[in-house]
Amino acid sequence: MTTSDSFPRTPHSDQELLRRLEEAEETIRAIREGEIDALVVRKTMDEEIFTLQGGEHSYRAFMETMGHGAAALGAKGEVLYANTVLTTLIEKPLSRLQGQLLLDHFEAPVSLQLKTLLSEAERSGSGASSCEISLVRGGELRHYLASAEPLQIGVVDGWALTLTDLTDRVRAQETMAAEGTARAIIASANEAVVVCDAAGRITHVNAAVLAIEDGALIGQPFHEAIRLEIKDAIGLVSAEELVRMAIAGTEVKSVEAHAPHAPHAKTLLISAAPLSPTSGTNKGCVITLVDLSQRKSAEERQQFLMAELDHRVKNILTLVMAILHQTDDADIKGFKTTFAGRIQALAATHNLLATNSWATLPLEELFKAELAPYIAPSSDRVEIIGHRLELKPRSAVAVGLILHELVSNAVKYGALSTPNGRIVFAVKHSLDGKSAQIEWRETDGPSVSSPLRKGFGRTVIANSLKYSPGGGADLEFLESGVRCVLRIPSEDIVEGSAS
Amino acid sequence: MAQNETTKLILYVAGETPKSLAAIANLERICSEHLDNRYEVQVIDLKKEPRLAREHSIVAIPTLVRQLPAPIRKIIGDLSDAEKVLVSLNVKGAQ
Repeated sequence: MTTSDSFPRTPHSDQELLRRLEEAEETIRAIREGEIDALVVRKTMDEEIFTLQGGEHSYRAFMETMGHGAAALGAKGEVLYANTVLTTLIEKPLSRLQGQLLLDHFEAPVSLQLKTLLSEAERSGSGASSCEISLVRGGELRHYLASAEPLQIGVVDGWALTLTDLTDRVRAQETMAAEGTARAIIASANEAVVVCDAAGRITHVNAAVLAIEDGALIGQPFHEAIRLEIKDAIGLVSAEELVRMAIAGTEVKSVEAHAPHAPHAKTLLISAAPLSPTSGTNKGCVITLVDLSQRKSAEERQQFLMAELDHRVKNILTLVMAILHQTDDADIKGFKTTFAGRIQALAATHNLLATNSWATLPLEELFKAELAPYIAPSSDRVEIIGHRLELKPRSAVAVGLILHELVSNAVKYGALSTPNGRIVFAVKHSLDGKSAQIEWRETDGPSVSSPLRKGFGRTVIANSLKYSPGGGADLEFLESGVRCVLRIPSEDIVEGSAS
Repeated sequence: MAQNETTKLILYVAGETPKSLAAIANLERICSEHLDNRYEVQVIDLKKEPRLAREHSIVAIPTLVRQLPAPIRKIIGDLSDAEKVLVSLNVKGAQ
């Protein structure tokens, strides 16, 4: 900057000449030092203005064509020019910005960010520095990438500052991230999840849906792609209607439906909810289909087990009553011992069946359990021959009672009453195929004769397996020892491997 | 300088060149911060009216001319040094 007194156009004195010379020198100095950026040139008739930076209009025109907010700033950050995008963003006309510090027109935190940005750009000397800023405009938060770069405008050192609107990109990224999260949630759900667009067409499904309906589902109307029958519904309620209600904004909860065309027919619990209800406009709906088949099956099994338990308790009580009535030892002590032994035999069979979940029981295991109180089943006095058989509960209870009577008798009077007596337990099939045949044979024991009285033991042996035409037992009191052949109905046995 | 004489300043600029814009902003600041209200400022855009350069024999832009009080004084440049401007103008009311 330079100063001088002016003087009349026609010098009249040395002093005036001196002042004019001084002004000329100061003008030259100002030009040399870059303090001015325009000159007045007198042509023949008129003066003409030449700006020293040149191309001023071209760079402004260029800035205007940019889609981003852009400003040319002087060395102190004053606005030399700002394009329309930026002035609109700042909400002030260019005339009120020019010459003003741009940073004064932003909120304090953003102003500080931009100040730091300009400092970084100054330190780097070349190349653009950038940072992200957020501004609330029109009531919504918008995101911008601010970039600053040193700029030489004619004789002026300054800055080029641009603000690029990233809001759409940030939102797109957020939307993508949200969609990714939603997809992951849908994929990880155990329940079948179907997403439909506003027209009710399927846009997403997870793997669990394939257990209900396979094939190409995407793009299909929900009610056509996933065939459902709404339980106990009149004609007005259909899958199509449920989807329509959800899209319209009404949540539908826990409607029971049947999927007759599923690979395994299923009972389903359907819920449907509007998609993005907070955004104001429904973009579709989300439908979840919970498979009730397993739950139904578990409920049915529980009911079945309760009925079975009831049935078995009644049966066992009846059996206990029968044992009680037919245990006819004369003295009370003998009665107690005999009765308790029979009840214990019954309990032992029940325990073994319970251990095997009331499915089947290996015959050999039952045999060994009855022998165990008196002799080690592995003893060489005991021989087991033939096939392995698995008994169903009904025959297991009967065989358990029969074996108890046979073992009790053998211990009192037969092979197990002497040190050398032996028992052979042979399993074979009957010739007619209606039963499996088991032979109990005592040898090397005392001589045996047929008892005079037919007590409960013989009744049990004779009748326990007669619940079926193929079942029964024949007891013989041979001199060499007791022999009993049991016929177990074929419907109550499961074949095992040969032992 | 007469005490009650108004200071009349004319700033010659050339459109919206950086130096012109800076000179306008700096002059506004100097006036508001350092001068009382007895001053008159006129901004002349020589790009629009180049002929007006003749009146004060303006050659370089921006140039600030103190037209009143006499004698006329010129300050060439963007007026970024406020103190120098005030000293050069020797205006009344300068704080």
